[in-house]
Amino acid sequence: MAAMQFETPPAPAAAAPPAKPFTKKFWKSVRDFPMLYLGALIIVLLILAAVLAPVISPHNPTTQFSDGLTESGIPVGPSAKFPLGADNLGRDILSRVLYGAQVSLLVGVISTVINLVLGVLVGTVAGYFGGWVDNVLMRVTDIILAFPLLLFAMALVAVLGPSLWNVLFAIGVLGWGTMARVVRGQVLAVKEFEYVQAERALGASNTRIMFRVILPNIIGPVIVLSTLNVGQNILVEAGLSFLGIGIQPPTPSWGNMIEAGMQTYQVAPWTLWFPGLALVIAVLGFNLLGDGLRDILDPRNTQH
Amino acid sequence: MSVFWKKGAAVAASVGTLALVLAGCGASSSGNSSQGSNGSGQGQGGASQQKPVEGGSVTLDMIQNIRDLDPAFAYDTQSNEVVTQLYDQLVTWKGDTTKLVPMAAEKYDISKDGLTYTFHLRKNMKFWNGDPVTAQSFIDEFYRVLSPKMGSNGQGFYEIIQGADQYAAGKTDKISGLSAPNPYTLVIKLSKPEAFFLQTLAMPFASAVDKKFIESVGNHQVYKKNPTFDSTQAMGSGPFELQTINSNQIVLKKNPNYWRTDSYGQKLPYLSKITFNINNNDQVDALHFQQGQTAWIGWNFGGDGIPSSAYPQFMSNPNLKKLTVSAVQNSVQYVGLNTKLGPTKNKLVRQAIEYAIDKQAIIKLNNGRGKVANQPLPPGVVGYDNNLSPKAQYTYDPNKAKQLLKQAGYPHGLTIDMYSENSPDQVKFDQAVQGQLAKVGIKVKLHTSSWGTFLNVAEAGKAPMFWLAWIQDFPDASDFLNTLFNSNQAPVNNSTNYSNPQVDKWLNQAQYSNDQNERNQLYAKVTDQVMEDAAWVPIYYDVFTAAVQPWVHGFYIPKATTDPLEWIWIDKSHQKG
Amino acid sequence: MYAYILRRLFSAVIVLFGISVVTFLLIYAIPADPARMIAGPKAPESVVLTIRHQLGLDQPLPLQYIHYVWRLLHGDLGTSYTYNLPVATMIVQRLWPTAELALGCWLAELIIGIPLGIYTARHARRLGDYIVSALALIGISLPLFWLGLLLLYWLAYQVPIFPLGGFGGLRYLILPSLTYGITGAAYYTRLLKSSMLEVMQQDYVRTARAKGAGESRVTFRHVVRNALIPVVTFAGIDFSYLLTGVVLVEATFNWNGFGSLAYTAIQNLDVPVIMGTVLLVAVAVVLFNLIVDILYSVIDPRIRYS
Repeated sequence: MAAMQFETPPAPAAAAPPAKPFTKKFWKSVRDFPMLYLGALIIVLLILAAVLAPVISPHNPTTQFSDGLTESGIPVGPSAKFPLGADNLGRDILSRVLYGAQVSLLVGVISTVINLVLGVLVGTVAGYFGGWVDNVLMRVTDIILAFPLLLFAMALVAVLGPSLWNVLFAIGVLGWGTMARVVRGQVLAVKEFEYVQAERALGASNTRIMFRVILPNIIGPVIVLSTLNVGQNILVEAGLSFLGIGIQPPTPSWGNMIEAGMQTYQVAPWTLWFPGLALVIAVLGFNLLGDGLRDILDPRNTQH
Repeated sequence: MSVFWKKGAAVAASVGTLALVLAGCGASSSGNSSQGSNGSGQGQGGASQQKPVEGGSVTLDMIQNIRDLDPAFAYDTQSNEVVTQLYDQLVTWKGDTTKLVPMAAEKYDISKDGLTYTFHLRKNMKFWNGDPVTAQSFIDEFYRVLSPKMGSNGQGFYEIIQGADQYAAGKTDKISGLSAPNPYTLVIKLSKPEAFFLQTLAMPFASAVDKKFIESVGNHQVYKKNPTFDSTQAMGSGPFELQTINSNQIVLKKNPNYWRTDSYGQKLPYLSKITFNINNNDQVDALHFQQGQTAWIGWNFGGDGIPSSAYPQFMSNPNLKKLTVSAVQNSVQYVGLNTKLGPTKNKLVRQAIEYAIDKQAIIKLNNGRGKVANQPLPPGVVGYDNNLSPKAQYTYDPNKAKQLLKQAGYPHGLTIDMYSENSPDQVKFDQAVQGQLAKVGIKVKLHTSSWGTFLNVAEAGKAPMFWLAWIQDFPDASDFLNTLFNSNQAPVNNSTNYSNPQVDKWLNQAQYSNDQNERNQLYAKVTDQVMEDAAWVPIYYDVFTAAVQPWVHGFYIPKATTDPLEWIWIDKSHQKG
Repeated sequence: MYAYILRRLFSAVIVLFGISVVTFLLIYAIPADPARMIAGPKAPESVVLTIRHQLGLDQPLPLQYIHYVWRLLHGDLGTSYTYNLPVATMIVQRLWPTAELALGCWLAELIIGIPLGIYTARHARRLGDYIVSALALIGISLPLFWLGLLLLYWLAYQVPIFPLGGFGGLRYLILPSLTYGITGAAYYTRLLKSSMLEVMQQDYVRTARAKGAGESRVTFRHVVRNALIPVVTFAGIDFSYLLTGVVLVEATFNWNGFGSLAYTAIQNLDVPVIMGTVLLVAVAVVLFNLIVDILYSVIDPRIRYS
């Protein structure tokens, strides 16, 4: 999707505005880029939740409390002991939601890093060398892009056996197609620029030109796309876990919590609400940040 | 109320067992059709007062798809229940009792020495394709079940037929004990008397099959001589025909030429169509029933009662509550510990697991439905051991478990793979076990899959730890203890690969003894030994609940998974289409 | 243009070849012995060996691949381990339900997405635009399956207007389509908005406006029609998203289609079905994109692909 929005190379960064007191500057930029800051705030909170989960969680996320279930074996609702209620095994949902942030962030970020490395490598090499190299690499990219990510990741995780690392690996190895295409497009445009030609004339090596000269110039779209990618990959992980092919119990993941909630929403709707809400907020955070960054790094896209 | 359910059925079951055991041995006995099919019309449905109405169809939800339609392999509850709709056996259970009545056999005689069984078959029985059902149709199936290549779950039940053990071992290609003096007389000779042999003939293994059909569709690649056929095909003579089957739905349609009639002379079955939708979602299944779309819930084809997530609602809503029926079943839910594979090879590890599992907590997850189990035999089966030896008893004690693990050489814990089917309630129980074992340092890796896929692993003896249940096929302790712990049943039925020569000796002795007291004593010894060896963690004995729409009649919960769908009828006002 | 189409066809063939290699390799990566799966767990080893030989599983990989492609070209996708039915038959049985669902989902996206796109373009930088854009962002961030469950909870359980999932007539189609529509519409909204804003700057629009055409007339006669071109292209990309989404929608709504076939096959490690479904989806994506690209180059000859 995002692929289409980077058909043009980024304009040079705007000149720095005249110095102002920091706080004033800060609030002005918040007013100018509310999405960016809201997204950043959500992500900071998310990171805090993940990192501090062991400290701030009221309970161990895997402890099955017998008072987490009613006499007839149904999850208890929100209470002082279980602020967001309990799940179908009497576990504290708040604690599980907090720990679930760890899984989501870990999978989202690391799989994106893998996407990024593979995508940038393939895209840069293809765009820079062109010709048959470009042809081969782009056909490989086409093949990767032809398999819908979730379906392909499902098959691969089934092959490897469901676990956190395999989910991460599958999403990372299969999800770089878009990145490669975008990077290639950018490289194609940038490599014709004078300063690149100048470097080449000066006899710089291909590696140097690709990664020292071209790459820094296309970093904007790459950052934007990566940020959006984290949110997408979190969703894919949740989808896999929802289908039971992702993160395995007892490790809490928002996806497998929703799957469990699917069986109890009639009698205990909170089992469905909170993990889903956490998931939406997290993904929204990355989407806000991504869009916000695009406003700054790629102003032509928001000219209107 | 139009739902009839006889309370105290569990007691009736045990009395029935005794009577059968006595009848089956010593004195010659015979059954004939006058007490069988003709008398069964009203009796089957639990004495319904109204005259049944023909027609109409019902829709039901099923959590899991069935595994196999081949009668030689249909030994799990789900497959078993479908196969008994599609195929006829020689004898069957009368209603919800444990009394055997003739079925395909019009009558039968058992010789005084208990060795020769003569069945006189009905003459008007036909397979759906028109082929006649003859004595040979039954003999063909015995050859399939006993074939050394097939690996049928039923093999062990019929090796007592003369010459069958030789055939099953691949030494001969003829079973001398099976003969058909004429097309409608089947003679089965045993090598020694067996108290419950007749009961094993009510199982789906002893169905009439159409050899011509099997050979035309069968898997010849694999089994040249005795082809198997897959779960998309069936050719029986039973009350319902298989219309379609796919991964989401099974449709059975009425066999219009079925031979059985009720006491009013009406032809069975009453229903013209039964649709099973496979829907692995408890909530939705419960809601479909509440909205009146399904005829009943929690029963049929491996249904484990009303799903635990919906059960409290059924209990708290008076309109729903009055539709529920419940009963103690002769069945046990257990965690099997493989004695030949993985860390559970070590007896101390198995015993540690016995101490580490909190059965009461699991029963609570099932809304309190169930009684804590302390041995494989349910209390309703004769032979239940009331005086377990202290060595065979375990209470929930995590500290003791940790201590045993240390003794076993795992002071820092260990990892075990656990297998089960993936129905929502099962996954919940698995996670409870996982959490409980985590407390003592055992990390459990769960492998849940569809029922058939799971059984393929478990029945190959390849699951280090697994959750299964066992429901009686016939009311005798041997169906539990011999089938599940005799080393000759490993791994297909004895999936923990339990093997103890002493236990085998006791089991074989009990198998062929005519003295019920002696049998009980032997089974008590077996129970003590098996529990001490900790091959199983018996979790609970089922208290079964189902709910049935008021417009459905003829419903009863059978004792041995032979669902009598042919007796079910629905109000005229609910017949559409 | 023909050169372009030829080049495009050639690369599609290459990609299809790659796809067949990838799906073929899947079967060897999967840790279940196909021969054992066919024979059943109880069959003796000798039987398994026989099957392995009969199926050619003991031959070298490249040879097996050639056989595989040969069978593919004859429409033979293998036989399901679980159901012992031809995979092709199983897939064909599920095509219609999934096609119906995919069409419903796509229409829902357009019905929600396009009017909102027009609205935001016409009210750019005004309150309505901000509200819709915020909603669009939330829509993109919603997990399909969670939204589906919420809709089921509200509209099928609490207020029982719609059925609780399952496959049937139009009534069954509405909730799943709505679910997908809400999460997917935002892409169309955003795309149409930026494309319309671009078109509005074009000379012919200014001319139309200068000639005194009404604002609505300008919007619908000139702007929307031209701005829809990139939207149509996006449908090609969306097709792949749609096929992924359908797996989740089918799992959530117990829809008896292609996605749930793939999903249960994966759970049961029913290798031929996994291969068949994955292969088919990938081929569909490639062909769909090919058609869109070709149509696009016919409609708009300015397109130059490097």
